This record gives sequence, C-alpha cells and structure tokens, in this order.
Amino acid sequence: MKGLVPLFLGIFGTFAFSWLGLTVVPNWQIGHLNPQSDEEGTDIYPQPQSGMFERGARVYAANGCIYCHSQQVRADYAADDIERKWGNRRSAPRDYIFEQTVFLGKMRMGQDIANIGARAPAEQASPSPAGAAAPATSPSRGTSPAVSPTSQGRAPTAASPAPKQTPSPSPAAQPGSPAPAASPAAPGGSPAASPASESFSCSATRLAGTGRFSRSTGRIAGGVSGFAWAKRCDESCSSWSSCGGITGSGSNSKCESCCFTKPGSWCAMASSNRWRATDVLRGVASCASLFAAQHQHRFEHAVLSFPL
Amino acid sequence: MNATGIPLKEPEISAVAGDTEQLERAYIDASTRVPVLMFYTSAIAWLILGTLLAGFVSWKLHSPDLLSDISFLTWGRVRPAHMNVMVYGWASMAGMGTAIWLMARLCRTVLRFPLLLVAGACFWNLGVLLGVGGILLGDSTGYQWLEFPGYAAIILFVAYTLVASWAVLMFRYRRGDQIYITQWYLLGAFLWFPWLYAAGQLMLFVVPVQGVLQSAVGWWYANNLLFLWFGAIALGTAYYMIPKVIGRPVYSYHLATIGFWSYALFSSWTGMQRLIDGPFPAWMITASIAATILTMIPVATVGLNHHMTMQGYFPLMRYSPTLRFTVFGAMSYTVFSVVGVLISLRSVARYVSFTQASIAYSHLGLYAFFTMVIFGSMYYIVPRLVGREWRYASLIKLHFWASAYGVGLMTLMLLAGGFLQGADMQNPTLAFNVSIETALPYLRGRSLAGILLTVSHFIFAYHFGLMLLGLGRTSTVPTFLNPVEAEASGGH
Repeated sequence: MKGLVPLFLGIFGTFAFSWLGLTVVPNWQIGHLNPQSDEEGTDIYPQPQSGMFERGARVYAANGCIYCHSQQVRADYAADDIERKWGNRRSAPRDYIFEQTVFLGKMRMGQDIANIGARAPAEQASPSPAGAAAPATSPSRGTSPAVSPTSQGRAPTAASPAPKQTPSPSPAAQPGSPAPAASPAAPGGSPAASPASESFSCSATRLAGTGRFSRSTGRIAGGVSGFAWAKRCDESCSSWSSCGGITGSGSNSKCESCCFTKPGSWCAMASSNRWRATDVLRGVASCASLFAAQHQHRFEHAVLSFPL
Repeated sequence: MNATGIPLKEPEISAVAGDTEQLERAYIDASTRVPVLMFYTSAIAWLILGTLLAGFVSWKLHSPDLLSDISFLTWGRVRPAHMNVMVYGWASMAGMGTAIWLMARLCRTVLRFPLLLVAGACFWNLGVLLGVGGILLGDSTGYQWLEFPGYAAIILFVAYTLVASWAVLMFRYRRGDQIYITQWYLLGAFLWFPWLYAAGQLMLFVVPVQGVLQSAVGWWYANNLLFLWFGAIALGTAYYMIPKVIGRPVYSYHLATIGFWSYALFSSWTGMQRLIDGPFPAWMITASIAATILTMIPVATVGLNHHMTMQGYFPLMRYSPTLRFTVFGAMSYTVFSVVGVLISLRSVARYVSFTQASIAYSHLGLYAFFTMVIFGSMYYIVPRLVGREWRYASLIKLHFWASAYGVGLMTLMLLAGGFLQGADMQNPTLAFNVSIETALPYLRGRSLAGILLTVSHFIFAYHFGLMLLGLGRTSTVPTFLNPVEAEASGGH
C-alpha cells in the first residue's frame, strides 16, 4: 500500500459497493411494490393494515417473538414448509408491503406463523399428533370491524372480533401433550365447572391469547416463556371475564386471577409450560390485534409475482 | 511500504536506539492508560452481565418455567438483551479499547485528546444501558442486532462519533509514513462502522424501506457488523500481536494486501446468506452465497500469513498468554469462515437455517474468533497500562481452557443440535415438536458449555480487577503460563 489516499478510497469503495449492491439496488428493484388486483379490479391484495395490526406488531417486537418464530414460507423445491402446511405457496415480497416492521425471523423453535391466522382453525379440526392444536380458537364467524373480510370463505374465521368465553379442552387433556407442570391441579377448590386449570382464549381485538389458567396457583400456562402483551380495552371489560392473565401496568405486572377490573391496565398471556409457544401464539395470532387477519387473505391469494 | 520497514521487529540491533524506542513506547503506553482502561473496565462489566443473561437465556430454553411470571425476565426479552449487551457492551467496547491502544502505538505518538475518548466511553455506556433497559421494558424495535430503541441508538452514535473523530485526529498526528497492516484494518473498522450504523438506522427507522427489504438491510447490517467491525478489529489485532510477541516480522506483505482487500470486498457482501430461500429476488441471495464462498480467499491468505509467521514459533504458545489466545482466535477465524460457507450452501441451508446452527455460527465469529483475540490483546496491553504483571499464571491458564472448551463445546452442541433439529423439521411426517425435542439435549449441553464460559469470565474479571487495584506482580518479566526454560522467552 503506497499511501493513505488509496487506502481511504479502497475502504470507502468496497463498502459503497456492498451498500449499493445489497440495499440500494434491491430497493430500486422491489422497494416500491403496489398491491395487486385481479382482472375486475375488485380483489385487491394485499390490503392496508388496520391500526390494531400495528399494535400487534409492537407486541410481537417488544416480546421477542421473532427469536422463536419465523414468518416466511420457503418454496417447495427448497424446503418442506409447504408440505408442513405452513402455507400454500412460498412467501413473496409483495406479501409484506404494508408491514411497518417485517418479522421474517431466523429461528424456528416454534412453528412458522406466516399464515397462522388461516391455519389455526383448520388444525384445530384435526389435532396434530403432538397435541399442538390451539385449545380455544374455535372460530366464531362474525364480522370484524378491525378486519375487512375478503370474499374468501375462510378468511374471517380466526379473526373473530367477538369475545369468546367458550372454554375448550385444555391442551393438557390432549394426548401427547406434556403435563402442565406449571399449573398443578388444585384439590377441588375451583369455582369453575372446569377442573383446576381452565383454558381460555381471548380474541377480542385488544388482546390475544389462549392458554390455561390455573386457579390454584394463579398462573397461566400454555407456551414457552415470553409473551404477548397488549393493552386491554377499557370499554368492554365484561368480555374478559373468562380470560386469565397477567395484569399490572407495564413491566411491573403480576399475575392476577380471571377478570380484569382496572381499565387501561395491561393484559398478557403468559406462558410457562414446555414447548407450547405455538399454542399461545396461535391463539394470539388468531386475534385481530395481531397479524392474523391480514395473513389470511395473504394466504388465500395465490397471485404471485415478483422478479427473480 | 516494504517488509523491511515494519516497525515491529524487536529493536535489539542497536542497543541505544532500542532504549529510546522502549522509552518512547512506555511513554505512549502511559498516555493511553485512562481511556483504554475505561473501555476495558466497562467492557468487562458488560461481559459479566452478558454472561449472566446468557446463562439465564440458555437455561430457560430447556426450563421455561424459570421466572417466567415477570415480564422483563421472559425469554423473548432477555435473549435480545443478552445479545446486545455482548455485541455493544462487551465486544464493541473491548474492541475499541484495543483499537485505541494499537492506534496510539502504531501512530507512534502519545495519545492526544483523551477527553474525546473518555466522553465517548461514558456516552457509549449510557447508550448501552438505556438500550438494554429499553429492551427489557419492552421497547425493542424488533430488528435483530438493532433492537436498541431510538433514544439509545442516538446516544451510541454520538459516542461513536467522538471515538471516530479521535481516531482520525490521531492519524493526522502519526509519525512516519508507514501504515502497518493493523492500521488498515483499524482504519477500515473505524470508518465502516459509522456508515454501517447510520445506514442501518436510516433505512430501518428514519426512512424505512418497504417490506422484506427491511430484513435485507437488517442482515446486511448484522453480517457487516460481524465482519467489518468486529472481524476487522480482531484481524488487525492478530496482525499486531502475533509478530510482536514472537519478535518476527509478518511473513508476507503481499499476502496481507490480498487478504485485506479481498476481505473488505467479499465479506461485506455476505449479509443475505442468512436469508437463504427467503422472499427475495434470487440474485441477492446467490450473490451473498457466492461472496461467502469467496471469503475463503481472505481466510486462506490471512491464515497462511499467520501460519508462516508462526512457523517454528508455535512452542511459544506454551508460555505467552497473549499468543495462545490470539492464535486460538486466528484459527477460529478459519473455522468460523468454513462453517459460514457450509451453512450457506443451499443444500445445507435447507436443513440448518431456522435452527440452532445459526447461533453456533454467530458464537464462532463473535466469541471463538473475536473475543479470544481480544482476550489475548488484553493480556498484552493491561500490564503495560497498570505497570504490573498478571498475578497468577494458573488463572490465565484456567481462563484459557475454560473459554476454549466452553466455546468449542457450545459450537459443537449447537451445530449438532441444529443439524438434527433441521433434519427433523424437513421431515413432514414428524410433528413439528419432534424437531424441538430433538434439539433439547443439545440445548442442555449448551448450558453446560455456558457454565464453563461463565467460570472463565469470572476468573478473568477477578484477575483484571486485581490488576486494576494494583495487586499485580511487580516484575520486569511478564507472566508466562509455564516456567520459561533458558532463552525460550520472547513473549514480552
């Protein structure tokens, strides 16, 4: 090296090359995609997200869901993602154009959840061998204010805005599911019809989640540790009556029993038990506050076009 | 510049000139004392915190009930906190400490403007503190490696600007025309980092790019941080420490030149290697895979250069702690790159992307390569700053073996676990959970490795603390790992 100038030029040049090549040029190529529509111009995909969607994304970011879950389906020739029914087709750049923060993810300690909203109810109909089916995402068909239902039949199923109080079988009761170590059965002190541990699902637009709440220990079980937090609604407190969770504000939360009384407090699904993040997150995702709704029509829509 | 002009050869030729140079060096070393020790002390404090967080993260992965009632202790928050403490708290600060010391030495001038550095260290600590606090309280941005919320990122950037402007100023005051190899790497690192960090912040937060490009920018940033910031500092340090300790010039300047430029050119293109088969135009990913394969060129040249420099001097690793750590790190650079190539091949990535193997890759780069080299440089530099020698050879040995076995075991566990996990995941007849349960024993093994690393870090922190308190040995002879037989020395 003869002197300082070539050194500086080289240092800048190599880096500029990489910067242009891997960020600027791709931005020019796929950085300004628009939604597509079919021939009649009616069926527009993807559609802009609701505000609740963004809130869900913040929840997802804050709690590090990305460290266990990916949101990308690989092509059938590259991997077996599609065979696992994680999607009908591979993910494409256009799928993500309305997401403020894209969570492609790099790790699958939990399942891929790119199309979770569409998948969860279907899987519940036929529980997977490992008992991983979401316990309480029984779809109630309703119209959703947060989600604009598409013409596709299955689209709105998982994103029911109606608060559900239907307790459904706990995952613990399903074959193959690990014993709920975090919620030992209470000796009959449970006021509810269900045994000591009660399963629940919250799918109101404010929060999301599904899991089991143990009355005896006051703990929530249902997934890996790490959870979805969402601000609860103040107007429809009654809709939470069957919802267990952690309350409190911000980080100083603590576990509380079923009903939340203080408007504006935080509500979350907690976790604990073994490898059932999928359970919780599937429930979480099936609520409109997260990405679910949007991912449904993403999924239904087979139109794919991006330059390769 | 030619090989004869390398300012590293021991000045034994002329006793008089040697004495002046020794004096001058001691003078320069003394001037770096406060800033470098500040960076080192903070780095080691972060290292200890990061290690504790790491143990917690690792443990929770197989015992998820542990403290999961408390939101800021949930896995999804502690994991990014651990990573950011290690990346920005430990690795960046320790790397900057070493780089500052090397800069002063190689510019052959006393450290000027120490206040810039002191302020930089304070701001950097503040930035990391706020950032980690923010992550734990749920303010994470959700981009891997860039989780720090905006308020922390700005402070980090200010801190960095102070340090970088110091580096540029120092460079202007340098004596002599020679720019040694180490300085290429250090200058590169000091200039690449701000561009990288600014580009990442701008393209993700200020003027966010659309859709999946965010992930492209994110991983472009992460890989470049690994290669062009940490990797460059570590390679530069190795290019200084190895010839210095054995008292012999670098084997070939030509090789070093090829190594440096191919490193800058190819490793900066590897980012998309982490997103194989993702929703991107195929050319981006293919370009990164090709670049990853081409990084074998700098690996081969740098490795060959170090090897030929060391040729015949390998037995010195028995005595010199610096040499032992640095050579381990330099060898790990090769392993790290080879593993990088392997997991980038599409046929392999099919199995290992989305598994623990990618964690192994990051640990190989950031720990086995970077951290070990930096440990080595600390063993060299700290005695020159505090005027004492390391107190216990046994502690250094323990530190080395615990670190080496720890990171080796961790890598093996994560790679093996990752491959098996991926193989199960790619078998749709098995339920998804099977793949997780397959990885479980390996994750327990990883926790075991984590215990080793924890032990090693606590030993090192204790030893460093002794040095800081002036409790090192007063001696003119450095602490050797084993008693030196006649004239086997040179580690100095």
